Amino acid sequence: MTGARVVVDTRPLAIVVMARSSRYFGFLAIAAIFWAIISFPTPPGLTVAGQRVLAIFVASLLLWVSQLLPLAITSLFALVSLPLSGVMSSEEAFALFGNEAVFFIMGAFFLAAAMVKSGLSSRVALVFLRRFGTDDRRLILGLLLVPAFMAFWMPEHAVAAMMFPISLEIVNSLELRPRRSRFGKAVFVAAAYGAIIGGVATFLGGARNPLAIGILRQSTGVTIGFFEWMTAVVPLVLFLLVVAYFLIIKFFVQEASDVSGAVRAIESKARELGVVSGQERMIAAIVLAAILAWIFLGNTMGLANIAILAVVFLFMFKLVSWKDIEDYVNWGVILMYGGAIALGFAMDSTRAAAWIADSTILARQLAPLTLLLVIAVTAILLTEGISNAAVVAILMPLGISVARKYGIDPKVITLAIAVPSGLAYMLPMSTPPNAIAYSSGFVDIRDMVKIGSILAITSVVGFMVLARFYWPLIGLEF
Amino acid sequence: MTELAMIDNPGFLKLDLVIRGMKISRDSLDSPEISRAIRLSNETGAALELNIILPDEVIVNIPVLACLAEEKPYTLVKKGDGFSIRAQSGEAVEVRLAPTPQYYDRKTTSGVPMVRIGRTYGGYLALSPNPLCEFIEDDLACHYCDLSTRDHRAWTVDEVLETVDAALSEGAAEYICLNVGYTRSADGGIALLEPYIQAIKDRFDVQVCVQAQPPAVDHWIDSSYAMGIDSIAYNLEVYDPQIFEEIAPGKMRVVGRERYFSALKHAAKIFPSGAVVSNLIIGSEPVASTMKGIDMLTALGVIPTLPIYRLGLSASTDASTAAQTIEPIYRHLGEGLRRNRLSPTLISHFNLAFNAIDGEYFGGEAPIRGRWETVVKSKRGTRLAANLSRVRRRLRVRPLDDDFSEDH
Repeated sequence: MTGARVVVDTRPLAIVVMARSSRYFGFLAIAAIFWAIISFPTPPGLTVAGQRVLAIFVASLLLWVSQLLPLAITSLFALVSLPLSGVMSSEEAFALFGNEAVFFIMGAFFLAAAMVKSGLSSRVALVFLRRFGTDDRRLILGLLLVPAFMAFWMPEHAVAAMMFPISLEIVNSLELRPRRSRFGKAVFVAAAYGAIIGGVATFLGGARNPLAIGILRQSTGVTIGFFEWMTAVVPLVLFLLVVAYFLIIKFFVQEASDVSGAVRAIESKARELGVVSGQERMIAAIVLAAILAWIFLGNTMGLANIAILAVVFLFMFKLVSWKDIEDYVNWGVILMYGGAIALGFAMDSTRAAAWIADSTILARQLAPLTLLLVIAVTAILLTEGISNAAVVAILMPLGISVARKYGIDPKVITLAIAVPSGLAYMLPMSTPPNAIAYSSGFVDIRDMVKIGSILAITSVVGFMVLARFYWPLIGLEF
Repeated sequence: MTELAMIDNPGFLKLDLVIRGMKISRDSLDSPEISRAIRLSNETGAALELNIILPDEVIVNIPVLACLAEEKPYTLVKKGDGFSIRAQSGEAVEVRLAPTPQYYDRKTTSGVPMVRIGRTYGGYLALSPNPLCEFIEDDLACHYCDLSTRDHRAWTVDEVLETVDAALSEGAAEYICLNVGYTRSADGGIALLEPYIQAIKDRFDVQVCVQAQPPAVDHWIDSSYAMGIDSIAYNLEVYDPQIFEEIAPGKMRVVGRERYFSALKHAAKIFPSGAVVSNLIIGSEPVASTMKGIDMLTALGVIPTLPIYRLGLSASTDASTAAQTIEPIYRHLGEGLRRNRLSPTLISHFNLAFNAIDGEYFGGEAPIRGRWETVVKSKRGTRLAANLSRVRRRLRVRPLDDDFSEDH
């Protein structure tokens, strides 16, 4: 306690009690809604099992959105509620936890841990950044492109965390002042948006992508390959990086700045890393091999198998310790995905998701393109307020039913949910890269909302153009 | 006022005993209670006091040694199995001796006599676990302070816990009062007490009062409440700035008089109503100044306690004169408390010093004794109060990273 800062809430005690109890009122309200859905007469078109799954889904949705419980615990609640409500046996429910996507995510986390711990990820970032930093605009371009490229291959939050000390070094070397320096804002916003935009390009940038694939595969048997995903999404990523660059320059870099200090700082930081160690070379080789295998052998070998095999090699050559993995891996995310996949499967198999699709606005005969727009806008709005993985968990079961109803390729719907759900630009709490940029003290919420809202609208427009004109060329029809 | 009237009024009698003292008769000296107190005083070197319970359960505290030598206007005499206090006129009133706690005879595991660590005064156990005070080291000690006479090391948390346990177990106290000197750190000294407070609150259902100097920054007041303190006293002692500097040079020059007011104001927002206290010593400054101090403190939400400045009085001081002096002060205090809706219930444990509870004997008005005093001072009442206090703390205290403040 000594030195620990506390605040004492001096509002009237009744208000304090109400505020502190809101959590429990929230639980009571969710329990009441759960009970009400279970107790209503089963509506036409919905089975009793579907009604129960629907109640579990709504309760989970409310818990995910309100974050009254950690995301992972809500998922575990959903997982155990399925057998407890008689929808499926315990064996079936827990078997769903063994979905390939869960193990792919785990393997990807392990590989990223090895890259971060060995310093390989920082070295790659600095090597690329050195090639950009000759003037202020090129430096910003580098700060946008380097994390974007890194987020192709490792989780965007890890990229943002890795870029933070580099960005800090740059603003310190230029003696920029928090809040006041527009160039300082540009440095941190570029690093954050680069990581976010790059994070949608592959399965590795954000675990929400494998989660979406996992639900797709579990519900329909269809999957999207690593290369197929990249082919579909990378053009959008490139477009958004260009837009983001010009927006950042327009908002924050109006006058030329001398960045020679920053260039020296990057050079110095690169020198500090010394020569490339054997450990880094080995990890780079294994990660590179895994990426190539995902691209060329993903469909035959299985993405998770490749990931786990690469991890086995890491340990075989003692390139990483179990302690390193424990320090780095977010086990909560892995738990969350297991539960979300099980719930998504139950929503589909009991036709509860189909019933929702039939009973809501989605039942109207919308043009497929309009439907895609509705889904993309819903996802991009939701992801500003709740975890992007939660958005995927909520929308995917519904999306798959809608795809069936409209006869749309479920891959298209999966992309329409997973890609926009990764594009949260506006709020610090939306995604870790934004939170890290905000924590620098240079960026305030107004900056993020201003530039982020334009980028969000551009993202939806770009996505729709891509879906309408480009996807049919690569076989994604709707 | 006649001596009869004086002896029949517990408040006046307490005042007169404080001012002019009391002698112990030879037959009383032979009684087990008093002879034990004297023996303990000799054995441990502790300056023990007799806690005498007057009618209406008014308690007065008189140093034992002061009762042995000179002639005094009152004498404690043995009467049957009990005692009475007899005035020179021959009038007497029956009194009881608060039993000297059994734990006074005990030692901690480390071998320290428990009576040296903590002594009970009426309802509370007083402890000064760490004797450090930088006012003394800087030759700026408060004139009334006896801290410099203490030569003990800092007691360990375990020693303090053993003593508290012993006192509470035998029912010798229902409230803990910790005292700490000043340190030139942002916390002002409160951090020295933190491990003791946390250990006491972790182990016992008991309320804790602390007397300290105001910290340099307000967040330490919040932290003081968060660490488990139920009632805090930043003792101003004197309202008049010049006399304040004379009596308490360290407080004036190092802490600053204005800091006392700002800290008390902040504390009154943080602690429950009636739990922030400050001494104003009667007799140390003109009555009008004390009254101004009462107005200032009560307006801030602080309850003034009014100890008597013994050093400024002599045995020849007439109690009725003293009573006439303090009567308007207590009347003023009563008005101030009512005007600012402050209840003195929480400080009813501090019944040795003169405080608002005693005002009824001097003000001549309806008693301002807290309505729930009897309940609060009962064993169940103190436990309930401690638990309610704990609940309040859990509701109100949040780590700084919680952003509930945005709702303000």
